[in-house]
Amino acid sequence: MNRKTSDGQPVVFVIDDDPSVREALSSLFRSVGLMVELFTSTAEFLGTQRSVASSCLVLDVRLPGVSGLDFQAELAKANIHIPIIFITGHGDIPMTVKAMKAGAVEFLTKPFRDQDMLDAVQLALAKDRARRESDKTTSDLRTSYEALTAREQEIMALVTSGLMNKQIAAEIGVSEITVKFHRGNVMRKMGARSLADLVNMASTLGVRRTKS
Amino acid sequence: MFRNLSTSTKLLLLCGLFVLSLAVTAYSLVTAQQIAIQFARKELVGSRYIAALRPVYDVTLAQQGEQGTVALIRTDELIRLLSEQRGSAAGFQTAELEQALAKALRDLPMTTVISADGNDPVQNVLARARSLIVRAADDSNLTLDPDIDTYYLQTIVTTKLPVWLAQLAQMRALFDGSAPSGAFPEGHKVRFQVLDGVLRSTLDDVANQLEAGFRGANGPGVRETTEGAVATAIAASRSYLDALKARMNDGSAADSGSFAHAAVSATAAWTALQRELDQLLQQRIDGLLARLYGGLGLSGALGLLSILVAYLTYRHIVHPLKRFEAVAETVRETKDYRRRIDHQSDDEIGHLAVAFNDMLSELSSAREREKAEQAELARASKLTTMGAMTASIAHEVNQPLAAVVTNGNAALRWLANAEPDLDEARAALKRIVDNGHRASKIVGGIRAMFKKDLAERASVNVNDLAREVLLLANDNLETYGVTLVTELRDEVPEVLADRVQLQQVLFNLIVNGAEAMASVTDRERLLRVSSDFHDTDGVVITVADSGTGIDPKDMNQIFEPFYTTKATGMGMGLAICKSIVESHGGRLSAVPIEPWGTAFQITMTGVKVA
Repeated sequence: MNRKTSDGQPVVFVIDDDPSVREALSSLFRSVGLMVELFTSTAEFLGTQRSVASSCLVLDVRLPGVSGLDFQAELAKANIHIPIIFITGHGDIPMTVKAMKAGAVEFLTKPFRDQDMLDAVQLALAKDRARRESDKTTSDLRTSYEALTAREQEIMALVTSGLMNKQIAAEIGVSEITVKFHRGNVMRKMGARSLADLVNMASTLGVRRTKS
Repeated sequence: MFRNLSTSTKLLLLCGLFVLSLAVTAYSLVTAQQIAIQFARKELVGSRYIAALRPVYDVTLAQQGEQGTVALIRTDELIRLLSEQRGSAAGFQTAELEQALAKALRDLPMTTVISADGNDPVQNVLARARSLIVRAADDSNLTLDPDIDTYYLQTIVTTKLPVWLAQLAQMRALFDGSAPSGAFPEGHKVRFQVLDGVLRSTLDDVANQLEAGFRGANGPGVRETTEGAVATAIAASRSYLDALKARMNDGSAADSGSFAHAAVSATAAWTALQRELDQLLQQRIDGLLARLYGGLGLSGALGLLSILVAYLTYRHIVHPLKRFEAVAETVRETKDYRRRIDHQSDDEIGHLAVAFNDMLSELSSAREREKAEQAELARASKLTTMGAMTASIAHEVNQPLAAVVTNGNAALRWLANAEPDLDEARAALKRIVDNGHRASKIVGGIRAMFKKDLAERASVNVNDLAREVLLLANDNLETYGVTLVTELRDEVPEVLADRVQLQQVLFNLIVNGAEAMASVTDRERLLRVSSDFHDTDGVVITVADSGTGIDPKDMNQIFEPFYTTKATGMGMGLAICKSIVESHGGRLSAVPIEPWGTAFQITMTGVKVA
């Protein structure tokens, strides 16, 4: 079991109470160069510091204590977005439908074909990576926005709401020159290449003109 | 403490207290009546005592008219009579006065002695007699008489009449002492006037008091017996006085006859009054006694009645309660909820009996419902037993199988990599071997499940078992429109078996039989379940259907695992049945029936028959 995962390396988490299945899966994933972390229960999984790299979860439906499907709901409630691949000894259609509706990547019945499992894992990791990237963009924007002065944030809101420099100057009671200066700072600090770019950023961040 | 006493003890206590209170009441009644009776008896003694003194008057009053008659009364005889009358009555202190009277009587001269000084021996006797009468009246409670009629009668008898007679005697002495003829001395005249007035007022007193007595009497009896005599006596005395007055005025001859008449009629009145007094007193005593006996009788009757009522209450409360208790106890012990209390009455006990019986019916039906529910549950659980068992087996075997497949794939990949990792491949292959063994172990464990501990076996009545299972399978039989025939021999002995497993086998055979006849449409779908006992074979249970039968070439295979002729079957049922029966040391076989159908026979040969 390899718990030392370096950043950037995708990781596959496996939760199954049967050690033979766990070890087999571990071997399979490692044989194609994937990092694997094994857990015997959901509690153990929740209690472990997980890597920030892209990851996915291979989850047995039948677990002692809590069922895999319930755990899926639990994670969603806790706002933990990790793609899940279910494995089960005796899957039935209602169970599959429920899992897929709740956002599972795949539902595999034991014994499964190795290629099906590996494909599902690749798909799950790709999904996770995409989500992480979109999350990262928003978070970078947020950092830049936080770096603006209060005046600059105010002017950004007014600019992106479609006001001209002259109107802004009248609104906040400064000269047009001053507005231009702040506006230039905003564009630079936010890394916006155009006004349209800045408007997009404002909408992503939810920045709006506040009525004074 | 009282609440813990048994009801019969409480009743006994209640009854006892009531009887005791009756006894106390009766005792106080007796005491009170006894006092009144004693009082009246003493009065009666007094009255008779006074009556015994009457001869003294008869004699003394007659003596002077008829010479020598005094000798007729014997003083000793009188004293004896008096003390006899006095008898045992306590409180009579008359002895001294009796002696005084006796002395006076003895002093009485045999001949007429004229003595005008008033120191007349006759008067002396009469005075002694009077004081004796008064003493006797006082000591015998006569003067304290509580009734109005007897009170006035005794007043007349004990005080007025002696005075009356004494005054008559004084009057006679006054005239007899003077010269037989000729003028009276002046002193005599005055004395006559006084004595005349006193005697007349005595007469009036008697008349008034008698009238008062009549008023207080119950009914006319007293008046009838006494009024005539007293009126005659008063009239006689008055005419005597009138005669005396005339004699004094005109000096006419003395009329000794008129005195005798007055004296005799006065004593006659006295006698009549006395008799009436005695009678009234006797009546009072009788009345008191009657009331006493009546009261005692009533108390006794009430006591007996209360004992009777207590006994009846005991019978009507305690007996039914004991029966209730017995029934409740029996129901608790035997769990036989069909029992009822046979008690009918329109009281609380009767209502209780009805409520109790209702409760038992309710319990009984609740028990029936519960049984039905349990049976339903058991049926459902047994129906799923086979399915659940196979699902469980599938899961248990599937886990290592999945691991084997995955490990195999992983090993292939380790070997197929650009740089084959032989160590990883070896590890994966080793895990394959381990999982293979594990799967084998699981299968072995399942097999062992059917060879359960002998300790779980108990004596089973196969007929009861068959009936239970048929009850459970009833729905299936109905679904397939199967007619059921049971031929269960009563004398089949019990066998030592795992009840649940044997139930599963029978259930499986019966449902199989029903299902085998699903396609039969041209004849009756008949399922025959029978039990039998042979000395050689032991207990045989047969489940025979009238289905299409089994192809003879398949006959050998039907007990093999995974062999099935059903579209949806697992092919495990008969295999499991066979292994269960064989684990009991029995045999499961199938024989074709002519012209159609199959009979499955469970033969418990070599089974230890309980």
